[in-house]
Amino acid sequence: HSMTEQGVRVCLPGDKIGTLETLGQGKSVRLGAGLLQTDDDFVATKAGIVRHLPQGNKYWVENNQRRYLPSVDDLVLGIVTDKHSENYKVDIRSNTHAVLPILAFEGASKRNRPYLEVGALVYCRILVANRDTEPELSCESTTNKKGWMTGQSVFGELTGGNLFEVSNGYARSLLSPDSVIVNTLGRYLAYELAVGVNGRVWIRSETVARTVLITNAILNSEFLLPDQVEVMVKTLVS
Amino acid sequence: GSTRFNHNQTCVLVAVNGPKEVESKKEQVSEAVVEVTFKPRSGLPGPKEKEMEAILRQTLESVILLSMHPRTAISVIFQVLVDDGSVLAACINGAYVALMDAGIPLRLQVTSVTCAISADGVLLLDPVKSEEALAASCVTVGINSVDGGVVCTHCSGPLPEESLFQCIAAATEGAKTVLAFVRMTFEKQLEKNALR
Repeated sequence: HSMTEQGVRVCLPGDKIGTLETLGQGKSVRLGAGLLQTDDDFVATKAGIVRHLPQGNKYWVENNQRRYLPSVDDLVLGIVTDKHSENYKVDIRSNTHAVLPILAFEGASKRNRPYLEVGALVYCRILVANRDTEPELSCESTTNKKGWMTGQSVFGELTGGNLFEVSNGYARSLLSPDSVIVNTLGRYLAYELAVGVNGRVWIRSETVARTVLITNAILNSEFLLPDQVEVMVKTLVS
Repeated sequence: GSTRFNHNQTCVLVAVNGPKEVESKKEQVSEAVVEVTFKPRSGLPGPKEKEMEAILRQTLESVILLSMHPRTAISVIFQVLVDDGSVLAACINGAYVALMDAGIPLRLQVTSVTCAISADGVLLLDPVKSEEALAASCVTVGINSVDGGVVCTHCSGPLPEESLFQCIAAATEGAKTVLAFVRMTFEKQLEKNALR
């Protein structure tokens, strides 16, 4: 690995990131995407920036690949492609489709459950993801226990609005509480936003014109610096 | 992911697609399948192109962490745009960069250099087409810069054993230079992304 001028730590696959001693320092080390453990060394398997989260001592390699790789607890936007007796087949932009059990909704029972059509958009989380099987999704939340009928549950079907795709890295940056574009738009306009880490973004607002404006603003600001974002939003809104 | 890799005038385009669905008769239960297509600059693919596909597939099968994506296929397509010698080396280097661009997990850092040996035993690194034609034999070596191991060797023409080892030693040095270049390119690109 090497440090660039800005102090960003770049690694290529095969680079040794550290050993159990240097990274662990007595605590356990949690490895995220792009890192592998061989004996006592931690080796990168992807090219990217090495990131570290002090809480939980988590290390991972951040890279901006176009294909989405499912991992447990990710929040994604899926599109229903097929209905079976026990589950729905959902497309989540990864190499295989995922499976969403028909009862995996908050407070759902056999008689009382949502009926999703082919083409429906669902906001859900990844329950099971390993290399050998299809990923399994769930619309049940671990924290918010409001039932699916109330319309106030965290996950579930998203109706109306506009769905578009962005790169995975940009989607993750939109989820950050400091996201410049999301906050700047929020100062001028009222809108609903759902972002899936699989590179899908959904917008809903009062008028079609406003939804289109917000869609374009988000699509255009992927490569802009914060000051440029402010200028662009002001121009669009006025 | 995709790359355009140049060795001087030689220019190769490499495109990587995957991990993606594979038809059930080709699929492997415990690992990914590597599918390679090699397209020459002009003309229809023939036996020479099939040989290139076999060499490249075997090389990439040892470079990619196949067990991370069972029951899928990773397809790599090579298109030669300009052929001025050292084509195999350009392909291997291009494939390495394209695989990293696509985010496919890799085990090694493989970079490659071609050596041409003249009739009187003089080594020439990274030959152009005219130099390859005059040489007695040509050796392309792919080196894993992490531990200096040899990932692949391809020889054409007769050569004594000693020359082969000399080529490997020279190629090891050359491969380090190529890797430094690849690393620098990635750093620049990732730095730009990180600033946002």
